[in-house]
Amino acid sequence: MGRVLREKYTRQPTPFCPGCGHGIFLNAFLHAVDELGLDFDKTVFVSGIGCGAWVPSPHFQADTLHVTHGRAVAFATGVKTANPDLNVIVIGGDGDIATIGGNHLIHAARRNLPLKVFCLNNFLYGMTGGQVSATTPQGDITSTTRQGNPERPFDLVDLARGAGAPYVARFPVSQPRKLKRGIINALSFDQFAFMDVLSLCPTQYGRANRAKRGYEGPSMIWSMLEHQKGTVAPREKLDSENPEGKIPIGEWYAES
Amino acid sequence: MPRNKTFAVTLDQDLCKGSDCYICVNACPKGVLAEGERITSKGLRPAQVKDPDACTGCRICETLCPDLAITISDTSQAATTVPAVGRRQPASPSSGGWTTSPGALKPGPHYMMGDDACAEGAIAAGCAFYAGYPITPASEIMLRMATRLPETGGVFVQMEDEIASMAAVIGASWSGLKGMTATAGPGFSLMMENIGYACMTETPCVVVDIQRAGPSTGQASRPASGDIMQAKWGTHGGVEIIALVPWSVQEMYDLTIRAFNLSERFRVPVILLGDAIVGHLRESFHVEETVELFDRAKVPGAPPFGTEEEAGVPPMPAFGQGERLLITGSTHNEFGIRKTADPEVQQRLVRRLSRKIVAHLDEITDYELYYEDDAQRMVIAYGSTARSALWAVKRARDHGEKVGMLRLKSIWPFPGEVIRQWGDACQELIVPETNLGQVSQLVQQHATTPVSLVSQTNGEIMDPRRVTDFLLDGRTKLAS
Amino acid sequence: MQKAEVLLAGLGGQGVQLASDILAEACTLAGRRVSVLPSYGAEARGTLIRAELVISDEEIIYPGVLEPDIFVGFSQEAYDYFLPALTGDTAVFYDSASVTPSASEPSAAKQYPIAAMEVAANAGNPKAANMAMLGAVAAASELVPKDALEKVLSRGPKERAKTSVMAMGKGYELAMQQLGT
Ligand code: SF4
Ligand code: SF4
Ligand code: SF4
Repeated sequence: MGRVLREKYTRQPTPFCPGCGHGIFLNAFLHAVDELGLDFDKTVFVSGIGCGAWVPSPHFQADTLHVTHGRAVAFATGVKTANPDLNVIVIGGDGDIATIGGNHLIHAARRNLPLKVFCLNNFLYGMTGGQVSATTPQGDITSTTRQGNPERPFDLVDLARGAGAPYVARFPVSQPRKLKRGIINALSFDQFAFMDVLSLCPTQYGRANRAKRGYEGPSMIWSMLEHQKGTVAPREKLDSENPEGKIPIGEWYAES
Repeated sequence: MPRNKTFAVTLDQDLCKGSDCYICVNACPKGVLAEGERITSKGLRPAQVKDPDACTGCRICETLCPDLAITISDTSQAATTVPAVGRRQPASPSSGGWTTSPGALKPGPHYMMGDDACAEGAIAAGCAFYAGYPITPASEIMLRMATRLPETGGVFVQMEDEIASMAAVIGASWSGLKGMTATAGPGFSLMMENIGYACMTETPCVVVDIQRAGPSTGQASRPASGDIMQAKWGTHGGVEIIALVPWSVQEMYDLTIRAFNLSERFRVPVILLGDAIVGHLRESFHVEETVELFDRAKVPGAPPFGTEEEAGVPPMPAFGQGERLLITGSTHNEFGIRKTADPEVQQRLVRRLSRKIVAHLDEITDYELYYEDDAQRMVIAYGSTARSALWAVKRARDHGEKVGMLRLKSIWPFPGEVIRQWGDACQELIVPETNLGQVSQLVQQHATTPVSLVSQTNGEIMDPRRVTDFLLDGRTKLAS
Repeated sequence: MQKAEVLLAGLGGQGVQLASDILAEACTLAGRRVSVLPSYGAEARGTLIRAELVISDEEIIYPGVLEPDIFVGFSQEAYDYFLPALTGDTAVFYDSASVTPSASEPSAAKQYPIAAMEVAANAGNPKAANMAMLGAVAAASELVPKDALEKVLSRGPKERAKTSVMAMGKGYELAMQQLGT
């Protein structure tokens, strides 16, 4: 499958760091695309600036619009309204989509055009040097919060649901099969869909928080993946009680 | 019980990023994959397939590999062949160019507000997309578009801010529609980054700026012409754009059509620099039987960001035509492939973005002359101020002054050569402006004759008597 | 060249803007050039509103009113604000119901009271006072044809059109009587 996906959907290998969680998302995404039979000739990928934004552009063999930082969702709104026959998919990071671009995200959710927005959430700015973002957990170390992040993060699922998104999901890259299933559901949904993809940045986040989070072993990314699996649980299980403060994963459909 | 070997494990070591990853090595429950021994020329130690026979085909490694380097295939089944994906032909390849259209309004006289005439001009020009955000004194354009676009089969979206408005217009333009937004001072400032993006990606679009007295919130409903320099230099990087300056409701209509044509012709954002006077002024104007329209070329397969000519304008396909467009605001080659460290590509691109405009200065430049035949002094004016100026020139003529006037209808690219010629032919150039002297500086750059500024920055239309006084006072000055 | 500068002023809500638009449309219909420079600012109820009209049979250069041929004062505030600046060349119309002409500061301008509100009430629509004033403007300037005004006023809903045309016609008559032509 690896070769098939590469040849069918990509133009070139990614420049991501070894073990980058965004690569695992890319892998799951293309598995989903292939399983769905999504027509790449009728699909436009819109992405802004940052590592996550590089997933589709310049890598996917579809129309790609690589735009200014934070504005991908707004550009996508123009693309989709001007030609509703196109599948319009936004992929980007938490800095891009949820921090500088947060305003566009909530308004797109409210507007409920059938856009698909995947936020590859690695809890900080990767490409620009590991700075704190709107999703960095309180206390975490980033290059601009050396003593630990004093601010509270956004919960992107709550944010998108609060803004009215009729499909919201959260899946971790450490569970690629669930992630793929979610992507299929999001892509086949007929309205606005948002996914908080719990990604991993070994280079910036991993190194900075190695001691704090206890990432061990020679392969830090593997330890991060293992750790991530331990921090999440299906939302259905957490609805009644969540003593360990696990991060709920799964899908939230608006009751209609 | 011996198990039938049915899976082949392929690990592409050229794609594998090696020891800092080793996700697959850690993930494989059967020890099929192992740390590598070979070090590549990139200094990586890719993982390797050590015990292929042990593979159970669980595909955990395949789904986790961030670089799609692993392929597990079921050898009991026929080899997977990747279907060749051909480029789909666009539904209607078109070479673009000029056509005659019947227009949208009934031919003949109309009476309308400038902002409304601008919206009608856009509809006549084939504008099918508007995204905007309310702001005085430009909101009336949006109001009219919100009614007219649904009537004409177009799309209207009110966005969350001006940043998003500009973004949506660019997105729509690549979806194949002619798009526009309209704003004023503060909103224009917010649009700057994406206007630069439109320049870099050669996206046709029209931005209307109904200038109001600034800086900052200033006087929201009062006129000024403080955005002349911003229109050209507001986006970073220094690039050519086109800007037109209407002086009447008639020109709010005519120049909006021209703005669309120029933006399609040169694949560049065109800025219509109105002001609170021409925006809110109500006036009678004339609508012609037909409208001449220019459409961008859509040529399948042609590089969308490069031409052989140094000043060329490449064709522009739309999304969904199977072109697999790579559009980016980063430096790119003719196919849109990013070249962010290549000095030659950067130089060629920036040069062409500029040359395609500047080399066509004659085609873009538009101005009108009044009383120029025997003029010893020339007033250089634009926008609503030109109306006050022409009134003043007439009065000065009544007093026997040999004063003429040159009215700029296009201001960017600046028609420096025209200014130079009139400077050479006259003893003085006089520039009345409702700012602190933006165009007068440009005029000074191009003329060897003395240049005088008549500046008014009180948020009112230029008082024609102020210009008259200057012209009549200047007589005594020149004589001495 | 024939040209008329008309200044309409009143308070927000008195229909100054609408009156200027109707005047302008009528002139356009009659083949004249016309420009209307609206007053700036929030057109809130109760604030001073003005509309500057230039009507001409040639292209209009400066769209503002510098030396008004006709001034219409819809309210006392508007009247008091503009009257001192007017000269003997301006024909001033004011609503005799709401405006008391200034006695202390005699103006050089020729003044004509029009009982616009009364005319409107009699026509069946108290809000049509501005239409009566339009009739007065038509009486005072050859550039504003009464029949074109009638045409524009007849476009609206039937009942309103009727009262508007009636009020305008009466205003025209009242002005004509005083202008003496
Ligand atoms: S910096 Fe982080 S997010 Fe960016 S490519 Fe490297 S590992 Fe991935
Ligand atoms: S998961 Fe892929 S990139 Fe990582 S070590 Fe294995 S083959 Fe290499
Ligand atoms: S498919 Fe499963 S068993 Fe085979 S190499 Fe991959 S992880 Fe190991």
